[in-house]
Amino acid sequence: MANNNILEVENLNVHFHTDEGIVRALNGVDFKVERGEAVGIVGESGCGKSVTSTSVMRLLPGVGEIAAGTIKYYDKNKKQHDIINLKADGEHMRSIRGPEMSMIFQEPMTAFSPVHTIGNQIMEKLLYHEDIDKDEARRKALELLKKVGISKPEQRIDEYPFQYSGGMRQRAMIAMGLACEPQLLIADEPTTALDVTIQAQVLKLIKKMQADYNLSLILITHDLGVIAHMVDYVNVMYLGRVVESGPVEEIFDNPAHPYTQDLLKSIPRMTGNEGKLASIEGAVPDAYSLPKGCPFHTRCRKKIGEVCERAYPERQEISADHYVNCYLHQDLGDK
Amino acid sequence: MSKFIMHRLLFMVVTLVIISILSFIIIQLPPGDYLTSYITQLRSMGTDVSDEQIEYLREQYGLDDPVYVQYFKWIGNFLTGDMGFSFSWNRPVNELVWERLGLTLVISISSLLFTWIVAFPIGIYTALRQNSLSDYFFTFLSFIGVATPNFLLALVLMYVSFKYFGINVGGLFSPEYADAAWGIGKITDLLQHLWIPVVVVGTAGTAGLVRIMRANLLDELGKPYVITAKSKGIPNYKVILKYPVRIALNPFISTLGWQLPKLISGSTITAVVLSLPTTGPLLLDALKSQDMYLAGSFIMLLSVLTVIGTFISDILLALVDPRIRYV
Repeated sequence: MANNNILEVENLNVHFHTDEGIVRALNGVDFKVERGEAVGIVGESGCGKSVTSTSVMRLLPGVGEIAAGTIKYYDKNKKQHDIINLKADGEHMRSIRGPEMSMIFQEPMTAFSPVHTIGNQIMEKLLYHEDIDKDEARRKALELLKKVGISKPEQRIDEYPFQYSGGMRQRAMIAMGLACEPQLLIADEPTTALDVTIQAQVLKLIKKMQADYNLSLILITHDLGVIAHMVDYVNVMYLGRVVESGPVEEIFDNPAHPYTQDLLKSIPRMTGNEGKLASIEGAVPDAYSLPKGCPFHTRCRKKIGEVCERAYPERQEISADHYVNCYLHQDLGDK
Repeated sequence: MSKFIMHRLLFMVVTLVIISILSFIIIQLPPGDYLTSYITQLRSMGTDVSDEQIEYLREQYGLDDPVYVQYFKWIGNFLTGDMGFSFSWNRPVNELVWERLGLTLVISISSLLFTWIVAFPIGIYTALRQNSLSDYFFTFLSFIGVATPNFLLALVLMYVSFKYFGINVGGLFSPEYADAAWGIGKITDLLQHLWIPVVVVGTAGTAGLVRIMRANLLDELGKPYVITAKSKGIPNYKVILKYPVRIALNPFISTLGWQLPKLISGSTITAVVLSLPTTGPLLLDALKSQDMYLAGSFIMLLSVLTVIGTFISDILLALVDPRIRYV
């Protein structure tokens, strides 16, 4: 079978060099995205979801360093690009950022410049990558704003971000993300900052755009409810590692990792008869000094024993395309 | 926007009226009227002043009118450019001010340009290279610049250029050009002298501005909109100049108007040390010798410039920041 992947991330390690020491933000992240597929990355705050996506875009801040691993991207012509070995601000990487992959952010208010019009910020991208004049760029920007459901785009295009409502800003952000027709859209917590009623609209819009533009989508969120509606395949992250991954039904029906099980239990349900909201015991360990072995052993309810503290468990395929890193699913023999 | 400007204009007029009343009160404050002291001064110098002359002068200055009439006469004259008479210089105030204003503005504006041209690139550079060796170097330099008193720097520069280059850089012209007509020679001579006051006045300002620009830009560089702009594939330098630098410059653009009064009163001590024919020392003398018309006119002039400067700042702020324009 020909390789139908658009993105392959293997053994990605990212370190942050801070005054207090080295933060190992990612410790070997593996995942892939197939062409046209929607992939979710889910986990608690600080597990490395956003670091993963900014690494793929090569937008890590100055203190962040990709210490090991590979990121392979396959463009519109299926040509392979070795993202890790490109210069972050080099011409090659910048020709991928925008026309090939693009990103929408959590906080649409701060993600737009407050002193430039929405139109200016969308047109900037079009003018830079495409060989078109200002009028043509404006026409395209208007089309995009219309496409994402902004009413009176002729008037709105010359307005500033603070004149938009939160939901509209995120729509405009999606319009900007779609400019130059990328193949891969990375949405980093796109609805976290929005009202619940607006969240559904924005998610619907992303889904519609994914179908209309035949996009591959990486959706980063801590919200399992969003994951269930939006994606085909889920990667569950904990402390800089993907601990479990599988098709979305598999993950919800047969969660294999104790962490995934706990996450699912902590979704509030109206039907439940227990009065207390379930939560995961303990706190996420300090990123400066990660626990040895399986990083979840400090909070795990099903910890087997010493084996969990010794080494990180190998990846195990427990059913079709469903992988987990946990000793519970390994034949431990007489270890 | 026009509503915003009208609103500000109205406040400006009210403020100016209040300031003019205060300035007038200051002029009136010394005991007796200034004519009394003027006549005393004339008599002590042996000039004979007849009663008719006194009567004529009293009439001319309206000293027998009620205070409010005097105020209106004074402000009326002020508006037409007649700022009264300086008793210590024995000349009309406006002549004194105008002849010094040109050179004052040349020095002030050159040092402002010097400050900005030097400070902004260094500020941007040090912010982008935060905590690098060059950042520390410029930081060290700017702390010295901030901490050195202007007059001290002026003295040092004067000493050095006299001792090692044999040039006397006090004043703005060499003696042979001081009273000469304007020509290439005089302009070259002016430029030879101008750099010292510009460097002296500019140094402290530059050093301070480097620090502020660096801090402003560091605040902006981490903002999410910078990442967004980079995510569009735009080259780094374009992103930085268009977004964070633009926003970090806003406070400077919007306070440009505040420089207006400083153009006239700024760097008085430096001007005294370097014996520059600018308005600063004139103001200082007026205050020392209680030359009330001169002092009052200066206060009025500075206040007017402050108010106009603030007005310009408000408009500039609205122009550079749409969030203010549309409220």
